Amino acid sequence: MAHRSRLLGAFVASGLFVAAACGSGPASDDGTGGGDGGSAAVDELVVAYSQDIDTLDPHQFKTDAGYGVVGNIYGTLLQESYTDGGDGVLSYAGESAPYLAESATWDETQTTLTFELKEGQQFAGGEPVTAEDVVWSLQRALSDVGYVQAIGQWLNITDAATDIVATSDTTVELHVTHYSPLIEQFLAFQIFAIIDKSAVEAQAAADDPWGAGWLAAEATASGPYVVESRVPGQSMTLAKNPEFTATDLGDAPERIVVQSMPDPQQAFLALQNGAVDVIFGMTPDTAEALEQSDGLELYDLEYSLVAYVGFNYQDPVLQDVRVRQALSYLMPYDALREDVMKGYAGAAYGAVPYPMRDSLDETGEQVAYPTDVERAQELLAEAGYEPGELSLTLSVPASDESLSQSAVFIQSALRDGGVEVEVNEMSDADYNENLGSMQMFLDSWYSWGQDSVYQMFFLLTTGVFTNYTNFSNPEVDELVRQAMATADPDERRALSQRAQQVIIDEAPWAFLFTRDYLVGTREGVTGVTHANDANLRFDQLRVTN
Amino acid sequence: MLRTTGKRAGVALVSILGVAVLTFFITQLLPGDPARIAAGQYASEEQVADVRAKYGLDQSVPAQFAQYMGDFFRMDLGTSIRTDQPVRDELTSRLPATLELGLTALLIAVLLGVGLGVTAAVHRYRIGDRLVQVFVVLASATAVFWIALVAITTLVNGWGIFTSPTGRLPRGFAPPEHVTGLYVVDALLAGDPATAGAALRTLLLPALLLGVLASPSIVKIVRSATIRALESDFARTSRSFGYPARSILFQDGLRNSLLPVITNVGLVAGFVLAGGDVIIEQLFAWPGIGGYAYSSLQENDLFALRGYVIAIGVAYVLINTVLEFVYGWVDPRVNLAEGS
Amino acid sequence: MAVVDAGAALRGNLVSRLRVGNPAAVVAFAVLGTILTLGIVVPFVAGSGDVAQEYDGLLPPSFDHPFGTDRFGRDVFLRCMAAARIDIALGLAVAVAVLLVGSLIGAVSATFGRGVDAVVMRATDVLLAFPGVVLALVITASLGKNPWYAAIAVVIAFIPLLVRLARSKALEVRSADYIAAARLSGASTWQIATRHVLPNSFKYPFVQSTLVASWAILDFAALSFLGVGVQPPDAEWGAMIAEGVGDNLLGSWWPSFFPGLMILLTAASFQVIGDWLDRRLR
Repeated sequence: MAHRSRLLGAFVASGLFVAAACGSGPASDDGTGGGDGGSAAVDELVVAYSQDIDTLDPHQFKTDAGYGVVGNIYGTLLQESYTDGGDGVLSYAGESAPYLAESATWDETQTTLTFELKEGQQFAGGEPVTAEDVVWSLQRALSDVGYVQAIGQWLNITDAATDIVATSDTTVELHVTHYSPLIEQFLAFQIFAIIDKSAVEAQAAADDPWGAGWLAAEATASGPYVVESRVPGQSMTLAKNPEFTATDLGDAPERIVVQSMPDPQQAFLALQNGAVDVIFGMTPDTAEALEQSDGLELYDLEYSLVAYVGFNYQDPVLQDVRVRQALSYLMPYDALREDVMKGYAGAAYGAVPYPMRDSLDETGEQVAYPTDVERAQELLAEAGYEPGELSLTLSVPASDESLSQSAVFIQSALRDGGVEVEVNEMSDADYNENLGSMQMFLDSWYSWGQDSVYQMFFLLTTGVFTNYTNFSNPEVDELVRQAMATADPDERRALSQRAQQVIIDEAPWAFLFTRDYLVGTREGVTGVTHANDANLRFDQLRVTN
Repeated sequence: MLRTTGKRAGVALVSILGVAVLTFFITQLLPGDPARIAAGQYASEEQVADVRAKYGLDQSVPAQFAQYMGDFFRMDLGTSIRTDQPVRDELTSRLPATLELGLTALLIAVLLGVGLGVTAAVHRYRIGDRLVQVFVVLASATAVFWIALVAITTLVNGWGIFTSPTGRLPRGFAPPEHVTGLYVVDALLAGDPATAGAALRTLLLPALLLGVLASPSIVKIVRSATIRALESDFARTSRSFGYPARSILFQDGLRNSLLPVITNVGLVAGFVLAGGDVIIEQLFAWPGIGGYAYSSLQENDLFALRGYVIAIGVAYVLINTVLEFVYGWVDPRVNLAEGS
Repeated sequence: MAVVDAGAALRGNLVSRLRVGNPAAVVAFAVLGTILTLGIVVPFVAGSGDVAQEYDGLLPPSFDHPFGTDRFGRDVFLRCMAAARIDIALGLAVAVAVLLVGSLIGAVSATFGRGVDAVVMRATDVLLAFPGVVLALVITASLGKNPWYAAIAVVIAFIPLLVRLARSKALEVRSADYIAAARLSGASTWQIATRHVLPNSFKYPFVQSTLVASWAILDFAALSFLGVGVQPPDAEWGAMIAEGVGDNLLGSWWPSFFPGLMILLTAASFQVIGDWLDRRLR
């Protein structure tokens, strides 16, 4: 039932400075000058998520609702910039802007990034936000307290203990090995949340120096919202943070109720009945139903969230590139996009699909291996398999409705092409445990930040834990390594695209489709962020009429 | 056999202990590595090892078992892997929701069961009885998740009779001040009939579904007990003395059928608490312990799952022990009977 | 031996009682017989409907597709019939397994009495207190997704009920005169348990086992609904309902409605037959 996608990486911070909203746009109007005076800010918005809020720790959370809340109660040094398209959507503008920081400056050699904090900022508890808090927060993110460590290496910091330094009460320096555009982008993600060091350390224990036990249920808000109340397993109510001064919250909703609605159908009914205002992460079915109902709005946001069938290189049959290509030619791409995804999906050209930056495909329409049964059977014959001779197992996580439905279509299509497939639906726990050892598996993946090199590094370079196909290609490894080392964006792009082509030719996956994020709202709700981390910025939501 | 209070309590204690022991070994069967899941996809092997050590999963099974039983006697159910919170706190904060739903469903089941059972007995072998028989068969042959789906699409979506299931209260109502944790009761105590009404209306559909499906066994028992009572020598004598039929029914029929109902309520409570509850809570976004158990199972949250099973087991044993006392109190003959 | 005895008793009753006629039971036998026959015949003749995109998706019920088609373009009627085999077979298998194991344990427990009895009774207490759905979910999670594993889980959940039932009947039998006679003639306790107590205490649990079949079908469907019963593309009623939940919302009620109706009809038939046997065999 739950929408499940494995997410690498990172999450939003609030965006505001952006592109001074043309006309009807929801971005805040600097003229009203702060406070919640007589503005038309809506009293309360109820936002439904399919999962419960698991924890409030910015370095431990795993559910969508967890991201949603953490990203809105913690501030970060930088935030994403958005452009108002005038259609209710705020799109990522491709750069980060200062947030809790007043400024971020690179030195000449581009090895030191200096942050100057805005003056007079306080945590919700009343403690000032200091450089010491910032250093401690970033060090916590890069520590072994959570899973963020794996992402932290993209900040190019060698040793968090010595390379993140407070040089004054309001100045923090980051010493990095070399420049990368990802550094500023990543620092806008909520995993680099700014936490109140003193409040946590007062609660930390000897065996829990980072206060993980306490931060799981308590927050030291530095962002636009604070936790007002909570009904476990049902909802959490957030209220505007009165101490928050980094941006103007005048028009932001006074209260956000984050509601847990595990059943997508129920969530849709609740939206129809006015019991909720926004559903984050709708299923294709409910999105289609929503478009047929009056008074509701669907925001269909394109992302590079790629769905693929992984072929395990440790399996002798799948080691033959002709078999992998043949299977790719047999996939029913049209049925998957139309019948499973109801059209809320794009074509995936390789492992770095549109709209990911530096993708080989700039339109979202190219297909690497179009459905072609004859070509597939030729390849299978070359590889020594007559129709009916090949029999494979496809594993799929049962909780992901779209993927388990895809499995049924794939099974039928492959059978038509002469390949028998046994589908193995597994529980999340079982599936995750067996990633890397399954013969063929259906998975989907989104790299927050939509960076091509990052995506290929985690999924397709030798020896990385998240390389579930065990794909190992020296050329790809080398190209990705070089791309990570270069500070020149053009060179990085060229290296990335060469690696992408090798991966398409090798076909370690059948590149099925990209999944859109579907946000349903009642009519008049605008300010839905099409963010790099696929997260809502609650303070950007507006209600017109 | 169980003549003394002490013995009954002893049996209850042994059962609870048994549940605790069985829970440990059953959950040992679960596939997957809880530590890996807790640490996340991107955690290094050392991080996973740290998590394993933190939860004591690096110890031998006997050592884990000893630790588990020790914690159990201290009423410590461990820490949830998913949320990093004490399982006991998480369960107690969700328990009122489940109790409110379960008790209401149980009440509906008993009222419906006694009402229909007596009706059937009075009209036996006539049309009223036949209709009740049809109800019994249909209600005991209906899949709860299917009828819930049908009810939601017709009663909520189609005709708007019930409020949309977004938890325990419709939009615009704040939870009443915590006294019992049961919203309807708390709202009435706080003198807020509007909130009480709203809570009741939200509660009613899932409780009705559970209650109606749990009622057939009570209907059957009440029907046959009432028929026996009405056909007893005593009732016949009363009738021959000219007592009105109604008074015979209420004085003898109902009172005699109460006993088997009491013993049956324990089993029905089991269904309401543990069986239908998990699915209903999931479908109605009801924030109780059934939904908690389901998500814990999905995430392989060993400690949360164990805590849930123990909580249900203890509740079940307690309910049945209390019912035994009630039974013994209502009908002193039971103490002479062999067995439970 | 036990099965033979009970079976003979049942046949005798069936033949004589059916003639007398009980309308509800006749209807129940007819419904169950029809579903079972169609469940066996239809898949042979028309296939089991597990090929996706054979027809257009979500066609409403019509002459060609009496139950319509599902989102995958498969005939819902064909799938309901293919599922009948799995569901009824599993229901009966669970009933038989529960009957055999439950009666044996119950009879042994009653005959040996004291120590053995106490242990068995406490064990059933514990199992009854263990939430059945979670027990079943844990068992299937650890064994893997397979209908027979789910059936094992259902069996374990029902055994304590049957043990208690069989035991109380066996206690009645044990105190009967002929047991005392057997004991006097030097039969061992084990012999008494298996040759006398078990067969004679079998009758009532046998009646109950038709009810168990009905509950087993419901419970198995519930497990399937929660996603642990069968692997795609195999059809199973509970799994079909789960697949149709989303379509239900779009106004396509048929992919989830008909499987639920099949469960209702089948489980109700077993209930009616159980009630009828109960009245006849007592």
